[in-house]
Amino acid sequence: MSALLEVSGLTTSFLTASGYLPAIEDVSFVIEKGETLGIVGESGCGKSVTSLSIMQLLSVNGKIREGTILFEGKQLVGLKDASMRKIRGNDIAMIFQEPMTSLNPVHKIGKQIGESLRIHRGMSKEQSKRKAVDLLKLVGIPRAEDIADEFPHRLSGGMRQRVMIAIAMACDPKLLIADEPTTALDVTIQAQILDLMRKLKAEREMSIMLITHDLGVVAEMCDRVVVMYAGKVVEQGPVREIFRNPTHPYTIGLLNSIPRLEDRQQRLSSIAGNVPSIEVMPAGCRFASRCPYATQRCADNEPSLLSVTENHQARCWLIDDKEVAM
Amino acid sequence: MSEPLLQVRNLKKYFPIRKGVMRRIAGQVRAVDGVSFEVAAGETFGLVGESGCGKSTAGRSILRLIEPTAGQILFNGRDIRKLKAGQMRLMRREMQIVFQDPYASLNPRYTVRQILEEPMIIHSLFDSAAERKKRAAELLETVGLSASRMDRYPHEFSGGQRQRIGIARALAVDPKLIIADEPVSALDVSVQSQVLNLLDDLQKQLHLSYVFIAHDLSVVKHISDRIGVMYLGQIVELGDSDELYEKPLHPYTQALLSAVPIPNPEVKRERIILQGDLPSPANPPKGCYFHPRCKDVMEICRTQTPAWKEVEPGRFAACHLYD
Ligand SMILES: Nc1ncnc2c1ncn2[C@@H]1O[C@H](COP(=O)(O)OP(=O)(O)O)[C@@H](O)[C@H]1O
Ligand SMILES: Nc1ncnc2c1ncn2[C@@H]1O[C@H](COP(=O)(O)OP(=O)(O)O)[C@@H](O)[C@H]1O
Ligand code: SF4
Ligand SMILES: [Mg+2]
Ligand SMILES: [Mg+2]
Repeated sequence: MSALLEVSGLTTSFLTASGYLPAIEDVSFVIEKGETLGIVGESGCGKSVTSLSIMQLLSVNGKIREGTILFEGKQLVGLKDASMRKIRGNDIAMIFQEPMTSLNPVHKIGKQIGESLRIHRGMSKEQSKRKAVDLLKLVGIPRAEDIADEFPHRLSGGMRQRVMIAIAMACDPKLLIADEPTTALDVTIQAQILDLMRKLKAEREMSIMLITHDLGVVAEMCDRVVVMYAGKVVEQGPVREIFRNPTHPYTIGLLNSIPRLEDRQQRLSSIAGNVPSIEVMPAGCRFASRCPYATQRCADNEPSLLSVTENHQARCWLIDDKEVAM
Repeated sequence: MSEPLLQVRNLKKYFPIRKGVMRRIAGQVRAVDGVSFEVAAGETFGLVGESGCGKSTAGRSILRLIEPTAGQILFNGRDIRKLKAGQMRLMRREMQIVFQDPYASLNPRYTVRQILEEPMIIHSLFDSAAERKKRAAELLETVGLSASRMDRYPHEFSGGQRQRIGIARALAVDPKLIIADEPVSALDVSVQSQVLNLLDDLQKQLHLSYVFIAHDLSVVKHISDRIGVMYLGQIVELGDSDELYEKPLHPYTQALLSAVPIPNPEVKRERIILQGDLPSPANPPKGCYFHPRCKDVMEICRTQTPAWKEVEPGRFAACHLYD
């Protein structure tokens, strides 16, 4: 395997009443070819900012302040708009939680799918229309010819997300960034969409960056996982390893909070408190105020990402202490 | 056995579909189409199903926040559909609701104290402002919030805290039954578990009954004693929550269970993937409403409505597999 996307030291800030404040800081990870990488964490932890930074779709008050994003070795940070547009929707495609916000309500579905084919592949109107119908079939939409002539509001949430996936697949992307693609859907429809993503990935040797707050989805879909907390990567590693040996107290807390179908739990664990906002980022370990194991050291100094095993890291002083003890 | 606190019998709520300039009634959405269940004192009954299956409409109809089309709702043996407005207002003290969206359901211009005191004033519970304030403070402490924050506004609280305020407001009038409509669906798991634990504690302390509505089966199973699974306005299976998980009877329950992602990468299993979307409740399929998506569909399912029957003791289902 080799790296398709390499994010290093990424810091993205937003202009607020108190000046530029980082929403994500020093974020680094790699997505290999053909791999599904999960990004997980509570809302407000910086998952969407990370994906929007990669796509260079940040709102006007947002700015990448530091770091590099290499896609097939090519630096995306600082790339001109025109060059980025050649990559976006072509090599890297993205789908969002709420398809309606990215679908144009006044354009027919077939036309919207065909758009990137006309832009990136120089197809004619006729060609792109035919390809759009093929793509609708690919994503399992019944009566594809008819649906191509419909407007988005005529479709259910699940069907709209399939249309978004069809748009994303139009130019055979190498990387699909999916930001909570099933969060707004029922589990039964989620199962359909995840199944579709798995199938497409296998057929097309595509890589997927799957953002979710659902560890069940991570367990079923991902090869590796990055856990984010308060704008930082706090743990990362292969999915099996992380579930077998979660090391950061935040990851442990998340895993223990889930109600499990298979057990009868009297009481759920929970994580006290909330994710801090970017205006009031604590010094030291950002998780310290919610962490059951926090010591003075945690409140004073921020740990760096430390190795748990060869390909598993966590940002927690406990690991350091273990090593000292050994 | 003592009489159940709440008995819902053959509850129906149809919404008219109006068309054209004359607003002529062109059809009906059968949002709730013959739902029956009981809730004992101190029990949690879960209602689960895909969005649009009629859970919220059922919850609201039970409280008569919307007027049911047909059916009986017995609370402590009294048919509340027969109550006049004044009597109904008294009855509302006994039955409260907590909504999914704590952002939308709390008046943004009221302080938390005003939010909590409003139901006390409506029901003339206390004579003096001082008593109401004392009660508001108690309520906040009960739901795990500091009473010192009672003069703040809802937007100054996090999502989980706002849901606690919604629960405190429901508790303000000392109800016996709370209908909780997706109370944790908008929350992160870490916060969701705090609120679930709180509901659990309150139930034990105050001997509350809950009708817990959610689309997430793991949450419903965790909190409920018994569960009713809804599909297109009807309950298709009902039973003890552990038994329902161990051995789901109805093919829809089986599909719903198998769709829940398991947070364990070592577990590999066969998944039943339901085809298609939920049909429209304005135009439900013939026979068994579930038959177009059912993996076990038989000829009879296409034409005959399956009867509701006790398949095993305490376990009910409407499915021709058990004829
Ligand atoms: N346009 C913006 N302006 C200011 N702050 C923002 C903006 N977008 C995101 N943020 C902040 O950045 C943090 C991370 O947000 P986000 O990446 O959306 O979280 P997630 O996707 O993990 O829920 C949050 O604290 C959020 O409030
Ligand atoms: N006020 C209304 N007028 C017409 N149809 C409605 C109304 N409220 C709900 N419905 C319809 O009734 C069905 C059930 O809705 P709801 O009870 O909200 O389902 P759930 O809570 O299970 O998601 C849906 O098809 C919905 O569109
Ligand atoms: S009655 Fe028939 S179609 Fe309906 S759930 Fe049972 S087997 Fe499936
Ligand atoms: Mg997000
Ligand atoms: Mg609802």
